[in-house]
Amino acid sequence: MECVVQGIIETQHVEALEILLQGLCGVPKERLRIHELCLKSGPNLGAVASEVRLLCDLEQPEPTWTVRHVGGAMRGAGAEQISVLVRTVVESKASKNVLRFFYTLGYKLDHELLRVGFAFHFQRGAQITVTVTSVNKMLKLHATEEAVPVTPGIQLVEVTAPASSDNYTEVVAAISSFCEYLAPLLHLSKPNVSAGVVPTAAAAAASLMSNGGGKTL
Amino acid sequence: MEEKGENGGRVRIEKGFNQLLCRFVFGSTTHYQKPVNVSPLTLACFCSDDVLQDRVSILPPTGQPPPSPAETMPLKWLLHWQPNAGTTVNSQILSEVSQCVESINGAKEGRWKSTLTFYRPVLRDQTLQAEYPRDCLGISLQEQPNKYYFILRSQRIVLEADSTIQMIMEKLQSYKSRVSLYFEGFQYQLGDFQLRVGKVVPTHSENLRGIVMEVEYLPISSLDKSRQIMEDFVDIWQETVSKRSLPGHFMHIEPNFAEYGLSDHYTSQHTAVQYAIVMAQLIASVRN
Repeated sequence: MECVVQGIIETQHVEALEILLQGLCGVPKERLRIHELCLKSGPNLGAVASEVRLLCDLEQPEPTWTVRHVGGAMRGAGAEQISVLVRTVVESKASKNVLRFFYTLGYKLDHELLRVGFAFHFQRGAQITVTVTSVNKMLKLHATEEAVPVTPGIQLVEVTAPASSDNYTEVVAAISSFCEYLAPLLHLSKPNVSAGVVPTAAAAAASLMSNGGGKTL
Repeated sequence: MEEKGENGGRVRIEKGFNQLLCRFVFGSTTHYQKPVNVSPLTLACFCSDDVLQDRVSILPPTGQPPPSPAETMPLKWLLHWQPNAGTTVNSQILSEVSQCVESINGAKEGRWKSTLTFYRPVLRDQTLQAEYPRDCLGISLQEQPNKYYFILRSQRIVLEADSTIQMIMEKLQSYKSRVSLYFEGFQYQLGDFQLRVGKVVPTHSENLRGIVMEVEYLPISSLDKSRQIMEDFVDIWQETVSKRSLPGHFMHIEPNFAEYGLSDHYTSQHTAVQYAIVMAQLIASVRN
């Protein structure tokens, strides 16, 4: 299971966000360059359609592969009331022939993306990860070197934390609390519930930039 | 120095640095002449002569030391029992085989278990079955409790993944597990060899479907460099088993690992492929 919120930020304010996150975290960021391949089952395969994502970490000296399945979100009145999405997620590291494996099983490439950016990891009541990435599409199959932004000038911010059925309420509270630090720069909400850019972002960014970075809060 | 073993063979041992030059002579056949890293205990087992062990000494190494155990993964051969035509495998054969291991001083250590599962595609139109892998096997190995292996034998694909891949496959609902088999039994230490003798049974039944034996040679992880010593061991093993006049014999089929993209350096993926090959043989035996 994981808890997740998302938001968007203008690329011009990403540096300010990085300063803020660095200050909150105290350890250097982790660079991200992930080739994400979204595979869907062929028309005849499975009683219902299924989807799986293959993530290739291009930042490593030797690219590593992860299989990721994102399940349904938690439903019900309780789920409607919380501002964080809680959903099932299962991941597995796999050998580099995993794409060929799933193709052979009957899966097809639906779309692929290249996510480039950075991540910070926090321990604040939960194991929280904040990723800031530009999402890029490839004009030719698997051509990661020629990827172009899907939304030029806009980057995606995701705040995630692993959870279980026993502790997800605490994790939700931890994420909600953490998001308040980022409120001047961006609004974070459940995926597919976008609030756009925050009006105070420019001023907040200017303030962060003028104060400089590198301080641990 | 030359010693005569119980089996009538002669072993000429010439001391070198941290290794022994060995010429095994059984009858008129010289088995191998290359220098190998063989411990005195291994030779003692071959010759069934404990006295030999005391008479062999290893000089201090003058060259490069052998790789540390952490850098190597021991290679193994997977043998399966091939019943004679018109016969089937039974628990008496399994018992006799286990006794054979103990008769050559194999020290019983503990139990082992690996699991193999057949997966079948869930198709909306069954007439299109030929478009999908006919045999998708999932394997969980004793030696890698946190890993899971998928083998698509027809396409020569072996996938290594974390064991959570099983959960992902369950959630996808595109392939479902149909039949699972246990490979389980006891393992034995025999010098530089580790042997695992096991029965093949469905997970919810005790019906014996086969007998397998893992022969693991601990010092070497190169398939090529180990071939001679493994063949010699298996020859001695076959000879030992044949004395029991059992209705069948052990077989070893070496897969073409290169077709699966695997190198000479042994890994658990090699083991998974061997299990898939053996499974195909067991199915063929039952059909015949």
